[in-house]
Amino acid sequence: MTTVALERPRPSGLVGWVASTDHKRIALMQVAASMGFFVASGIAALLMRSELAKPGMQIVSRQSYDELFTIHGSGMIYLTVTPLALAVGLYLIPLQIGAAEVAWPRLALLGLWLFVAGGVIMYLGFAVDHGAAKAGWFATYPLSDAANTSGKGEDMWICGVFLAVLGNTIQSGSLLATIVGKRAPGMTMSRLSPFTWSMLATVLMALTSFPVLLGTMAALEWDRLHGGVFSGHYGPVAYQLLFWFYGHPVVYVMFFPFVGMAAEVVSAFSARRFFAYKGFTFSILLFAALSMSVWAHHMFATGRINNEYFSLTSTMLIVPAGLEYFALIGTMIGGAIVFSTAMLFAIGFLLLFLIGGLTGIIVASPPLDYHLTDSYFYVAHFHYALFGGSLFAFFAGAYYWFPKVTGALLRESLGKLQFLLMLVGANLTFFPMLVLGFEGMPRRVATYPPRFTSLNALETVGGFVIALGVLVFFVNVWWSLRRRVEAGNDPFGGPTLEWWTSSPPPRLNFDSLPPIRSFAPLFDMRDDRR
Amino acid sequence: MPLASDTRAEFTSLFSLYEWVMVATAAIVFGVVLWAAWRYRARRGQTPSAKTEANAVELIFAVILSVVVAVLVTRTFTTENRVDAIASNVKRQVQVTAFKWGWRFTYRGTGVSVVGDNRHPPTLQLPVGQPVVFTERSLDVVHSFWVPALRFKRDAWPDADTRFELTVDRAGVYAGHCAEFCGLHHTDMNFTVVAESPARFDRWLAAQ
Repeated sequence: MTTVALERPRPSGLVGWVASTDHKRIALMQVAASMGFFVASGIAALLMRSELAKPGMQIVSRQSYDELFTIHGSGMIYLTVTPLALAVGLYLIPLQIGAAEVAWPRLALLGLWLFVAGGVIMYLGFAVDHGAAKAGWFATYPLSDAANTSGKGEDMWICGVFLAVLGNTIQSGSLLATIVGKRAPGMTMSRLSPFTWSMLATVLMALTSFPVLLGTMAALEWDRLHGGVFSGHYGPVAYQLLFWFYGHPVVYVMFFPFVGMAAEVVSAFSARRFFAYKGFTFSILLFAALSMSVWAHHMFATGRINNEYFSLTSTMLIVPAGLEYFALIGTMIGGAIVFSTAMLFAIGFLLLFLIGGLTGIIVASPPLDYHLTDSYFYVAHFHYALFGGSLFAFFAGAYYWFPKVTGALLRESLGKLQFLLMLVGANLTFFPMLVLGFEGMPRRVATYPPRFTSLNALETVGGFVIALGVLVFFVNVWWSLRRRVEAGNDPFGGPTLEWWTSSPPPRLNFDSLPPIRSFAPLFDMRDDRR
Repeated sequence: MPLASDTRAEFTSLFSLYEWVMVATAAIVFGVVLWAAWRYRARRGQTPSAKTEANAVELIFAVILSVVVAVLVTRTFTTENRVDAIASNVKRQVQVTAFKWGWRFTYRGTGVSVVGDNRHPPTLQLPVGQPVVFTERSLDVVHSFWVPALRFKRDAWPDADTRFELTVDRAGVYAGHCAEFCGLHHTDMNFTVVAESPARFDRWLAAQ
């Protein structure tokens, strides 16, 4: 008997994309949307850096400056790095676990469009009376109440944050169900790739902490409309506690997937099985568990919380973070390292994130944080972590997986130029901030005393060097798609299942699967051939 | 021994420990990463190692990290206990009132009060070498009292008082800022600290 599988005709063209239930298309649209918001947030950053190039007000008004830093921070956190992390997971997880599809693809699609709608609503704030949101990305209460920040822009910001985070939460559920329920035969939990493990920890944190923000945003909007939610005794503290219960785990949501990407890149370009896999997965889970109990380290200077508890849990993060470095560097040691652009970005990630992590240990000590919190030292700390860390690892992943996604290789020469520009730019921009903050420059100020001028000017130059680096990346993508250098299935000798299938993968990902006996099944086959 | 509540000395001492640990860690990790990258660069005929675990080394490493955590946390806690302590018998008391966008400093029991806003920032006069207890409150949003030279800041809340004790260790003129973003004129919500000998401070107080 012959069975003929009749596939439902797939909608083509625009509808085939925007209504796709193919995890790869949803993920690519989400990457594109995140990169769009990345560019918009980057333009906001360049405007701020231009204003701060010298003391006094030159380019924007005080109010516009407040809108710019609010939208820059919100755009990067809610609309760029978090959805980007989930998008990469959405693309790669089914491929890495040998699945044909993501679980609940329609929910994943819904998540994408909720996030896009949220982002658009947030930005439309610039078009209404009184301008866009201007209470900062964490909208401290009562600054964010109706009396202190009037105007619909702030309400639109709350709505935008709510929708974007709701979309991220839904997608996290979809990814968790995929990892738990869609693994190919033989793909046990202890054979998940390092990236998939990092995504598992990520979605666990997201599902635990994001709903708290949804509730907080709903309560904040209710307070703006009717009052009375956070206005009583202890209300402003309660707002901060609720916000940071989301706001710190999200920092690791914006970090773990990227450390996972760096792990894959380091393993592939060291031509060597990922080292200390068990320690790495254990450290990721320990990190995720601790991350749920560190939130109020953002509140050491409030005088309203138990500092010692949060200082202890935060400083303890040294242990899992150290184990992650152990695994990544251990993979390099003993390898045969090829200095591709992806590997350079992964090494850049290791070095720059280290500065972010070490300065993080400093601000985890309350007596030190009393001085450094809300200063430029702190701005430098989280930019080293999120820009030097997460985004460098993203670009490592971009150069590594672009051939899988498109079938074409990115240009190495342009890639190395981009790496150089971004490495120099990041340090020019963020290192002087450490000094300025220590010397007493508060964050979120539109001007500063003349003695801070030269370091600020240096940062402004650095900001534009970064922008040039990002521009080189977009040129590289455009040029590499225009003049294609075909990649084949496995251009770099990758360890994981996505390199088994064609580039780009077919609609249902695999026509066949190799035997899965470890977390690096393609290395198993290579070793068998030897 | 530093004076009680000499926040600058406490900060400097604790920071030097952290700075030393961080610079050493950065030097080691940078060194190892760059060494590994160079030493294990791909060359002809080189086969990558098949080793995948080093449990003993990893365990020792984790123990070392835990010891570092213990040392840092212990020093942090003992320092914080001193920085946060408020003596019960401090005679100099200042009420700090923060508002959009300025400060009022009221010297308890003297009727002296200094106020200023973003256009005319106020001056906070303090005696050198004597502890001063501050009680902070905001009239509107959350602000934060920061004197970078004293290495200390503390938030001012609308719903409750916060209290802290500071001792300025040397005479001078220091900048002070609001450190918590508080709206349109946050940038200019500044004040100046003028620290003088107790005798001169008392003369200033009496002249008000």
